Amino acid sequence: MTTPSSATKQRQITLVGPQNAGKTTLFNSLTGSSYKTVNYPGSTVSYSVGQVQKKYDVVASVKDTPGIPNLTASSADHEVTLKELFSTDSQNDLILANVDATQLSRHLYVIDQLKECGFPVLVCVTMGDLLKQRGKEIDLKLLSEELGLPVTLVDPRCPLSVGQLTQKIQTFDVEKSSKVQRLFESSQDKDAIQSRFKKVEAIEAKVIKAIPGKEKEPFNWDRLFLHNIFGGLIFATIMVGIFSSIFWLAGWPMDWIDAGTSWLMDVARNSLPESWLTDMVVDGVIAGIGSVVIFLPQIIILFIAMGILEDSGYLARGATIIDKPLTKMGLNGKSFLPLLSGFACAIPAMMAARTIESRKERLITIFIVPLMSCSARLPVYVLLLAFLIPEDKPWIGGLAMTALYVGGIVVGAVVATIISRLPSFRHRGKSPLMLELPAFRKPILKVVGVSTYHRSMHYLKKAGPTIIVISLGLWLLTHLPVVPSDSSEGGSEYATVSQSYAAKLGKVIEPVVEPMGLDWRGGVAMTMGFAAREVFVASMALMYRIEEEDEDELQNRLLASMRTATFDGTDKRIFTTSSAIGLLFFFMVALQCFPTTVTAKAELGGWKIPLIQLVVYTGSAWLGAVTIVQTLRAMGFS
Amino acid sequence: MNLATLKPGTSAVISEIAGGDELSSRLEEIGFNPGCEVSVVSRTPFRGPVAVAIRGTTIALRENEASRIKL
Ligand SMILES: Nc1nc2c(ncn2[C@@H]2O[C@H](COP(=O)(O)OP(=O)(O)O)[C@@H](O)[C@H]2O)c(=O)[nH]1
Repeated sequence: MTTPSSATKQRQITLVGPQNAGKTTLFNSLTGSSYKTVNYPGSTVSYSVGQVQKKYDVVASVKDTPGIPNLTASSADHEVTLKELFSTDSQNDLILANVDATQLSRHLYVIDQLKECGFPVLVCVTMGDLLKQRGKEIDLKLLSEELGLPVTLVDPRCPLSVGQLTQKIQTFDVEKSSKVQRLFESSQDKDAIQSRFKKVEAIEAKVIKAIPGKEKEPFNWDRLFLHNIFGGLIFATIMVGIFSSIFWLAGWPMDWIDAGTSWLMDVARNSLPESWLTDMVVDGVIAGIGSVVIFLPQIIILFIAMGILEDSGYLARGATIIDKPLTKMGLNGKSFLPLLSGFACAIPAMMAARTIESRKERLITIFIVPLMSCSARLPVYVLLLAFLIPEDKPWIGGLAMTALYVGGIVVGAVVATIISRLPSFRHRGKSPLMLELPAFRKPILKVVGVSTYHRSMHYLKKAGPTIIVISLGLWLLTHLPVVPSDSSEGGSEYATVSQSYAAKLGKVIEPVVEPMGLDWRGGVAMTMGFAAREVFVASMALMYRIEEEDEDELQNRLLASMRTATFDGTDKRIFTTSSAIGLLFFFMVALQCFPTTVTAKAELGGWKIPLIQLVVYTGSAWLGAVTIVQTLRAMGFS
Repeated sequence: MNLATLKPGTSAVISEIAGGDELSSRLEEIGFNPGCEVSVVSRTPFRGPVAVAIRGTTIALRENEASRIKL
């Protein structure tokens, strides 16, 4: 029986069960989204831990494990989860196991195994509402008798229902003798599988009953969304929709942020005493922060779109539709989400590749993720296209932008195709595709909001500090050593830069960037881009010292100084049609982001592939840019 | 006959999962067992995966996997 103290004792609740049964939703409802995600020791398999919210009156910590359909390991990741579950020092006072009422026999399979192992299980039946829509109902009491386990109905999306669940948890009694034993059942043993399915099938047949006169087969939307013709059209429409909203919708907030940053810089400059410290705060810190925040609108839009695709259930359909073309390149339908995330940022994208079972397919996916034009490249594209394209023909800019994105995808496809045909890869099998398509649902605002928030914060925390530190460092590099203002050239901005440490660094780089049509200043800006691409624009502003008097926005000022910048001691223009096109190509292909390389190392467990990636992409970007610049010049373009 | 050749919108009962290898037991593990009713919901473009309804859910399988499932 429950003693009063049992409500206050810290307990360990573990969520176990198959995918798509509402496990994550239940976890979020129990913990109220204040959780953290941790990796199992020595692996990339991660799980979330959190505390049950105060309002529920249960003192317990909750752990969400990756979804598993059964307790017989078939993949390495699966094995990690099982080890953790059965390890002697993992304390599992209560296992909450979700089962989807609409596919009871498939989900009871693992429940039956859990019971056999002796875990203290409380079965949570979800999707009761969907079952009702199909004109059926479930007899919970009978189910509990048949299973020999306590059973409760819960809608993990509904706080009231979760509250009722926590009351059950409070009174749940763990038999002291419960000792867990690992199942020794081979995953190859078909007879064992079939007999277990027979058993749970029989239970399903008993407990699920048709509501008389109500039974109906609802329209299966997959007949439309996965249709031979319409399926592809819908997919294309959704993708075009997402990318156009990234460009058009994000335009306004980005303008506001740009204006806000300029305003803040002006205010800071006017209210702080004139000194080098003020310069550093304004040009280093504020401009640095501005260059991080400016991408947020686009990233947020992409994350919202991904959240909607995920929560509505469309993501699995997208993966199914795109599977065939992707297999031609040695990838898998499951590469779809990582590649799509790659348009926001390569770091979360590489982590999203964890769901791909085959090492080969996962490696190729991670390898080409950096070729998807991430949001950090966008400001660079915007700046250079604004330079290239006459203001009265904005549609050319739109086309050119699309071409850059498509260009990245095409290069990615080519690279993937080549790798998958390399001798050391050709013979490795492709993993089968067995993708469960969860029921279509109306996306829930809060769910999408929370996932967008978490992903955006992750981006900010990862990119923010680096970018600010780099902008500060760059500011110092371009301002030190201090040029006495009474010297002949002193005081002029150009003099400060050209005698700074940055200039010394630039002279070293110059031979490399010269064939691309750049001078040492462009070279420094490009090098800084290796910390994070978005730094390039801010660095350009610092290197080509923009005069502050103009009231215009940063970009217009920068464009003006790019148009007048010349090579040292000559009147030869640096930024011309050819050098700008060359730079665009360079940014499209080069792997200019150390955090990405570090992430690739963590995900692949070694430096070899990430370093190959770095050298190949950056090397071919340089070669391509040089070829473009020299060819264009030979053809008579400036 | 096998699942890869079944017309969309029709259903049939599984007779066996061919091949004694890992793939066939994976299919059994996720619920494709002899005696079960399956139906093809739809086929994706360019002979891509087929969407199969089984045990109350829908699962996408490639032609290669689907052809293992004999009806
Ligand atoms: N209609 C309905 N949807 C639910 C219910 N429980 C969860 N969902 C939805 O099912 C989807 C999958 O849930 P999720 O928690 O991601 O499943 P997991 O794979 O087990 O973690 C989400 O879109 C949930 O909103 C339920 O009881 N009824």
